[in-house]
Amino acid sequence: MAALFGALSSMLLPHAGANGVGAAAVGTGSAATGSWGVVATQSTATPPPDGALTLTATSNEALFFQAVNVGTVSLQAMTWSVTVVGVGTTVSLEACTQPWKQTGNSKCMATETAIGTWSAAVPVPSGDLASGASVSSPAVPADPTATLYLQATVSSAPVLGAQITITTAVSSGSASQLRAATVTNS
Amino acid sequence: MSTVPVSAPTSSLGRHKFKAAAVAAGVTLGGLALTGAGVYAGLNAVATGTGSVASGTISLTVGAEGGSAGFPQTVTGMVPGDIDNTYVTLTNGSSSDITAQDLTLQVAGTPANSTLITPPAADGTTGIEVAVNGCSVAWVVSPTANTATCGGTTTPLLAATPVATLATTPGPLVSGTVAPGAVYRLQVQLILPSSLNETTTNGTTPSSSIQGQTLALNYTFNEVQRTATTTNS
Repeated sequence: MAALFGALSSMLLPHAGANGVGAAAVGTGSAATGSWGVVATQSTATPPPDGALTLTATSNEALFFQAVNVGTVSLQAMTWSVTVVGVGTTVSLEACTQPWKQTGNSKCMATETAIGTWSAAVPVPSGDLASGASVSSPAVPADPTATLYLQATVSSAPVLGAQITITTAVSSGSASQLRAATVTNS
Repeated sequence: MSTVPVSAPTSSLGRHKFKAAAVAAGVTLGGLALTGAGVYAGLNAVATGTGSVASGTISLTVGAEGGSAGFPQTVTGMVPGDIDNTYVTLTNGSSSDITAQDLTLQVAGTPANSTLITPPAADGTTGIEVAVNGCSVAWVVSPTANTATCGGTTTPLLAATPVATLATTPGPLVSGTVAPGAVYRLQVQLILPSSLNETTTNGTTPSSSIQGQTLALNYTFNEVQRTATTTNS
């Protein structure tokens, strides 16, 4: 009987198709991506609220806020875009890896990084408020969940207040602001 | 149906005739019987031959290679540009008289509509990819040190190919003969292309995003039997 089955199978194989039978070996895996993003906020809530941060300056003053890495991957850079509204208003941003000492002259007791300076450079003929200038800045690195402490310094007297809108952006791709890509052997 | 009784004659002459008739009838019946048996025995002829047919077996197995964890290949926290290599040994265990051919790799991802397979148009056109390299000798892999060395010759077997393609069109690893007992030492690369560009603004990801996604992968290595032959022996 076994010989009969063997004979039948050997005869049937060529009829199974152009390539007949085959063999397969399988493996499995999974891939998960990280996330990236930064929020500028004056809130201490966790997680911080999304969205752009708007500060209002009524005098020459230092305005403090935080930038929180809300992603799961480290960053080697992030882009800051600041819009300043208020004729003649100049704003500069500085980051500190620890909370600023806000009494007296503001001091960073750790690593301090100047991010950039922005000015409302486009006055309008009438009125006290003007469209502002938006400039992307150099970047500041951050680890996941890390918080950078920032100070926006208004260096010229705003007229009737100045609107300072701070937008953050983090991009991947060829000019990635994420941690350097890695090759892992597992 | 009626029955007619038969009885033997009672006279001497009658008994003699009855015996003679009985003997004649017996001879006649015996002759018929013998004649019939002789006809069948005389026409019976048998010729015999023997043979055997055995089918071959074809098999393919995959295992971990040279210190690597092999499959399952689990990667977390990927960002564009990341590559994860795992190393596997692929063995053609087909019987010695069976030559296989055309080693291919099919990779299917689940869910099939994942943004890692088909990224948002704003991010790029090419999703997660798989590439395969072979080594002529065993790979030496140390996941702890994150190193892998091929002490022989490294051969690209499959260039980086999107999973979107490999799901429906298996990628060729070996075209042609796969010898019985052949062993392939493979580096399987999982690549998230660096060309994927996605920007998160103010902590808000785009509505369709490649971030925070998980994709299950199923790798299937295939080989087929050699071309069927007709043999005259």
